Amino acid sequence: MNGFGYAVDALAAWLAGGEPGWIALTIAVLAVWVVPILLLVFPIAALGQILERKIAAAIQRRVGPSSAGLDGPLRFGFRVLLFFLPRARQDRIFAAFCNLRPVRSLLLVSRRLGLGQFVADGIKMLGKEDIVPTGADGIVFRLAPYLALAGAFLPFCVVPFGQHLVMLETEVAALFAIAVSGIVVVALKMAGWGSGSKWSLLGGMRAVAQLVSYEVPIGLAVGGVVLWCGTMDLHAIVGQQYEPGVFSLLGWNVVQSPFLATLAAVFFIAGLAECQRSPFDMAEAESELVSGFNTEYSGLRWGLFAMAEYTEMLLIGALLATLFFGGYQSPIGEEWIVGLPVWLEVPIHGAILGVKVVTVFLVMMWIRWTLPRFRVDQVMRLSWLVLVPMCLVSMFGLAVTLLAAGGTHAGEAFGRVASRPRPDLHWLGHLAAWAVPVAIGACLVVMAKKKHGQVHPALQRLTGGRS
Amino acid sequence: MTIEASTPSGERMTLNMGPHHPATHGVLRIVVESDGEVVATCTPDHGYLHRSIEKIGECVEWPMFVPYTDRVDYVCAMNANLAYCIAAEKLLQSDPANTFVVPRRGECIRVLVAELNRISSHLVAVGAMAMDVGAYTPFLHGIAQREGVNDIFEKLCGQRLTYNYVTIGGVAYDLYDTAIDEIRRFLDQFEREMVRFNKLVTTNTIFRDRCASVATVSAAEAIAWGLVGPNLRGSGVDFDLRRDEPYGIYGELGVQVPVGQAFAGRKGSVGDAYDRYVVRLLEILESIRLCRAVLELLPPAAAKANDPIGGWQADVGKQVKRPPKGEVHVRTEAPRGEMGYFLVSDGTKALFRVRCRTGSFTAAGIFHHVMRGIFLADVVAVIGSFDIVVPEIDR
Amino acid sequence: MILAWIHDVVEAVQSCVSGMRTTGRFLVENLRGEGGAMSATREYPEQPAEVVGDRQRGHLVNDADRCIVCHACDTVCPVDCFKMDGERDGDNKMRASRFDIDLSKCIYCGLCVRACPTDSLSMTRTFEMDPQHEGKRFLFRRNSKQVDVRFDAPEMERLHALAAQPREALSAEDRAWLDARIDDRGQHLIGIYGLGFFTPEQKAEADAAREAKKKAKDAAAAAAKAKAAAAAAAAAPKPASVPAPAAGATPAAPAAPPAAPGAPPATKSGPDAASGGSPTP
Repeated sequence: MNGFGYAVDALAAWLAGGEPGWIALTIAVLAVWVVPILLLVFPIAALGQILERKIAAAIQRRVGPSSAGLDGPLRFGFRVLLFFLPRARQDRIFAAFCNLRPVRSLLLVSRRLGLGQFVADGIKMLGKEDIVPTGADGIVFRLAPYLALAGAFLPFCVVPFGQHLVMLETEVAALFAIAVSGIVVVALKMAGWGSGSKWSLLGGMRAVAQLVSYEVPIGLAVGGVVLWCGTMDLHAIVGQQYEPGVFSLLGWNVVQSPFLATLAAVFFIAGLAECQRSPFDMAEAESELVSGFNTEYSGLRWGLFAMAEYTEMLLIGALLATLFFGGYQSPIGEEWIVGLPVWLEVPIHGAILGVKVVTVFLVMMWIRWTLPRFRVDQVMRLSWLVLVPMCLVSMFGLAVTLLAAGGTHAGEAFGRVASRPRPDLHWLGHLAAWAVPVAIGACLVVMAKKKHGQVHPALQRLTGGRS
Repeated sequence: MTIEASTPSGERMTLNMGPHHPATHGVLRIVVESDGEVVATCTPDHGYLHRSIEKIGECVEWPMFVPYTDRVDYVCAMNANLAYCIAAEKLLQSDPANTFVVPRRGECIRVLVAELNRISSHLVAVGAMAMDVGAYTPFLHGIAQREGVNDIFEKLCGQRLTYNYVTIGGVAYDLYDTAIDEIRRFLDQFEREMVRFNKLVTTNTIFRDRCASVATVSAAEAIAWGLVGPNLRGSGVDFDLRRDEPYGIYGELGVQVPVGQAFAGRKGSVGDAYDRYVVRLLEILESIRLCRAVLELLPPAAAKANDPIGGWQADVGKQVKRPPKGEVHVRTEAPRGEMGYFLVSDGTKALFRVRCRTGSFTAAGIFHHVMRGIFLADVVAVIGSFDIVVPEIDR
Repeated sequence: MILAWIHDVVEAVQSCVSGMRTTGRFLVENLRGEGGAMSATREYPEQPAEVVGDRQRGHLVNDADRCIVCHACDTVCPVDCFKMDGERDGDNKMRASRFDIDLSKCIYCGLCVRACPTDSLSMTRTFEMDPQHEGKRFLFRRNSKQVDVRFDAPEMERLHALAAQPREALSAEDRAWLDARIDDRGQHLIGIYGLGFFTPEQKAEADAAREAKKKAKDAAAAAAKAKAAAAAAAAAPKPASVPAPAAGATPAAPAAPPAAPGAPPATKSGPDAASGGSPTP
C-alpha cells in the first residue's frame, strides 16, 4: 500500500459515506489513477507525434509542421474564460493579449514549431466521418482500437513513477506488464480481420506473427533481470538498483554486467518490434500494404490506433528505464530526493523517469527515420536466431556470474540492496563480471571479422574508401 | 530465394497492387496471386498512363515532336530529347543534300546535360527503391540533390522537368555564363553527399539483406528477356551503348561500364536486386567523371549565350523542312537503358511512323518471371530495383 | 557458423550505427542551418518562388503591338494553343485583332518563342497562376459551359478593378457585369487565356530587354556581315562547305545553303520589315 492507495480508499469511503462498495471504488480508482494517467500520457503521446514529425523533418531536410501555433487554443481559452463578455470585446482583449511582446514572440515560436498541430489534428480526427466498410465485421472492427489502447495503457499501472506513485503494487508486476500488453496482438488481429480488406488481413497476420515471436525475447530479457534481482516486482527491481552516494548511476542494472547490457539492447529491439515501429513496422508497411491493419480506419478510430502506438512507445521506454536504467532514480545521487517531502519528491522522480522515457522515445524516432524495413522472414529470423540465442547466452552468463559471486540473486551476491552490508570484493567482482565476458566477446568478434569481414571494393569506393 | 506457393487446398488470394498503390511508381497495376505472403503469380497490367505519344508523333510536324519526347520519360527528359534528335538528324543526313553537322560545342553540351540528367534520374531510382524498402530519408535526400541538377537545367533552359533543350541539330541555348563553375561546384558537393547517402542506405545490412538474392536474373535470362541498361549490366552483362556503339562524343571519353558482381557478398548472387541497385550508384560515379571530362573537352563558346547552338529551331515554324523519305533507327543509352527511336518518313511534314523503344517496357516484361515465389514485401523492392517509370512503359 | 553469426550481428550493428550517425549529422546540420543538409523546403505561398536564371519559361505572353499575325507560333505549336485573327491597319501592316493563348493547353515548351520572327511572343520570368496573387487577378477564364470567354484590354482592366473591391461596394451595373463573368461555382477567374502583359512594369521591362537584345543582335549581325565580307574578300570565292561556324554568329538554319548569310539580318532587322509571314498557313 502506498500513499495514493490511501487516497483511493479515502475517496471511495467519502463517496459511499461508509464502507465503500465496488461502484464507489471504481469511481475512486478512475478519479485518482486513470484520469490523471490519461491526462498525462495522452498529451505526451500527442506531443510525441509533433516531435516525431519535427525530427523527421530535420533529418530529411524539411521544415515539418510550421503553421499551426497555439493561437487557436489560446483564443478558445479566452472565449471560455470571458464567456460573459460580448464576442467583439473578447476578441479585443485577446488581440491586446497577443500583442504583448513576450506573448507575441512565444506565439511565433509555437507556430514555427507547429505546437498547435496536435490540437488541429485532434479536431480533424474527431470531425471525420467514422467509416465502417461494407465488408467489415462491424463489432470486431469497432472494438479493435479500444482494445489496442487498453493493451497499451494497462501495463502502466504497474510501472513505478516514484517512491509513492505506483498504481498497482504486485509481486508479479513484470509478468503482468508483459501479459497485459499481449492484448494488443488480439486488437491488431481483430482490426486486420474485421476490416474485410486483404491489405488489413495481411497486416493483421504479420502483426500477430511478429508480436507473438517477440514476446519470447522480451520475456527472456525480463527473465534475465528477474534472475538478477530475484524479484518480479518492478518497484522492488527499482529499489535493487539503488546505490548510495553521488555515483548512483553505478547501481543501474545496465552497468552491472555485460549480459544485462545485452539484455537491455535485446529488450529495446524487441520493444521496437512490439510497438510496430520501424524497422519492424511490417504490419503497417505503407509502401507494401498501403497501411496494413489500419488501412480501412478513419477518424477517431484511426487516431486511437496512432495513440496506442505512441503510448506503447512510452511504455517500452518506461519499462526499459525501470528494468535496466534505474527507473525513477536520478543518475547523480538519490539521497537528496528521497529526503524531500512527498509533494516535491513525486514530481521530481516522475520527471526523471520522464526524461529517460523521452530519451528512448527519441532514439526510437531516430531509428525510424534511418533504417529500412525488415522483411517478414527476416523479422522472424532476427527474433528466433539472433535475439533468443542472445537472451539465452546472457541468462546463462548472468547465472554463472551470480554463482561465481556466491549468491542466488544480485542482492545476495553483490549487496545491491542498500540496507545490506557490502562484501569487500565487491568492486573486483564487478570488474571481473565485465572483463571476462567482454574479453571473450572481443576475441570472437575479431575472429569473425578476420574470417568474414571482406567488403566488395566497389562498395568501399561508394562509401568513400572506407566501409 | 524462391519458395513454392501452394497450400494443400491450392487456395490463393488475388491482390490488386495498384494502380493507386503507394509503391507502384505512378499508375502501374500489378495483379498478384499470393498464398499469404508468398507470391505465386504476378501480372503487370499496363496502359493506365497511355497518352498515344507515338500516334501524336505521326500527327505533328516532326520537329514539334521534341517536347513530346520530354513526356515519354520525364525523369530523364534530356536523354529522351537526345535520342529523338539523334534519330531525326540521322534521318536528315540520309539525304545527301543535307550536309550539316552538329557543332562540337553542341555535342559536348549534349553529353554534359545527358550525364547530369542520368545522375538525377538514378538519384530518383535509388531513392525510390530505398523508400520502397522502407527507408524514407534517403529518398528525400536524393530528391534534394536532384534539385541541384534541376537548378542548373532551369538556368540552362528555363524548365525543371520537361526541358525541350536538345534540338535537332544542336541545343537550344549555349551554356550560361556561370554554368561551368556551377556544374563543377555541384559535382564536388554531390560527390561528398553521395558518400553519406551510401553510408546511410547502401551499406546498411537490413537494406542489403532485403535486396540480396531477390529476383535474381542471370545473364542469359537478362539477354533473353531483352533487359537493357543498368538492369542488363546488373546481371553481369558488360554492354553499354555509350561505349560499344558510341554516339556524340562518347567515343572520346572512354566510358567505364560497371557490371553486377554479387555486391552483397556471400548472401547475394549476380543479378539480384542489390546488384542492379549498386550498378546504378556506380553509374552515378561514372557520370560524375564523364561530366568533368566533358567540361575539360568543351570548346570555347562561339555563340552568344542566349543563342542556340547549331539548332534547327531558328527557322522551324516558318518553313518546316520536309524530312527525306526513308526510315532510320537509332538507339541511345538512357538511364533506364536503351532508348531507341524508329522513324519512318514518307516525305511529308509529319513522320509516317514514330516508334519509341524504352527500357522500362522490357523491364516490366520480366516481372511475372522473376516475381514468382518471392515475398509480397519483395514485390515493391523488385519494382524499385528495375527502376521503371510508368509513362515510359505506356507512352 | 558461429563466427558467421557473430559477424552478421556485428556488421548489422555497425552499419545501423553508421546510418544513425549519418542521420544524426543531418539532424544537427539542419537544426543549425548549415552544411549540405540545410532545409530544402521553400514555404511557397509565404516565401515567393525564386526565379532561377533569365531563361525561365513562366507564362506565355504576347505583346500585341509587335505581333504581325504571321502564324509562325501557330504552326510550330505542338498543342495548338493559339487562336488569332489579324487585320490590316492604316499602314497596311498586319495587327492582331485577337490573339488568344489557351494556357490550359500550353505546355510551356517555348518553341513558339523561338519561332517568333518579331519577338512579340515571350515567356515571363514568373509563373504565378494564382488569381489571388498580387497583380495577377486578370487572368482569364473559361466558363463552365466551355465557351471561350475573351476579354480585351479595357475589359481586363475593369475586371481587375472590380474583383479587387468588395462586392457590396459595387454598383448594380458593375455587379451585373461581373456576374455575367462568374461561372457556376462563383469563381471569377480561372486563368485560361492570356493576352498581353500582366502589368505595365512587366511590359516596360520586357520592352527594354527586347530592345537590348535586338540591338545586340543587330550589332552581331553587322559584325558577322563585315567579317564575312572581309573573309570573302580575303579568301577565294569558295563556298563554305560546313555552315556550322556561321550558325555560331547568327542563328541560321544549319541546312540552309551557304548563300544564306545575307538573309538572316533581313528577317531579323525589325518587326516591320518581316511581314513575309503569311497570315494563314
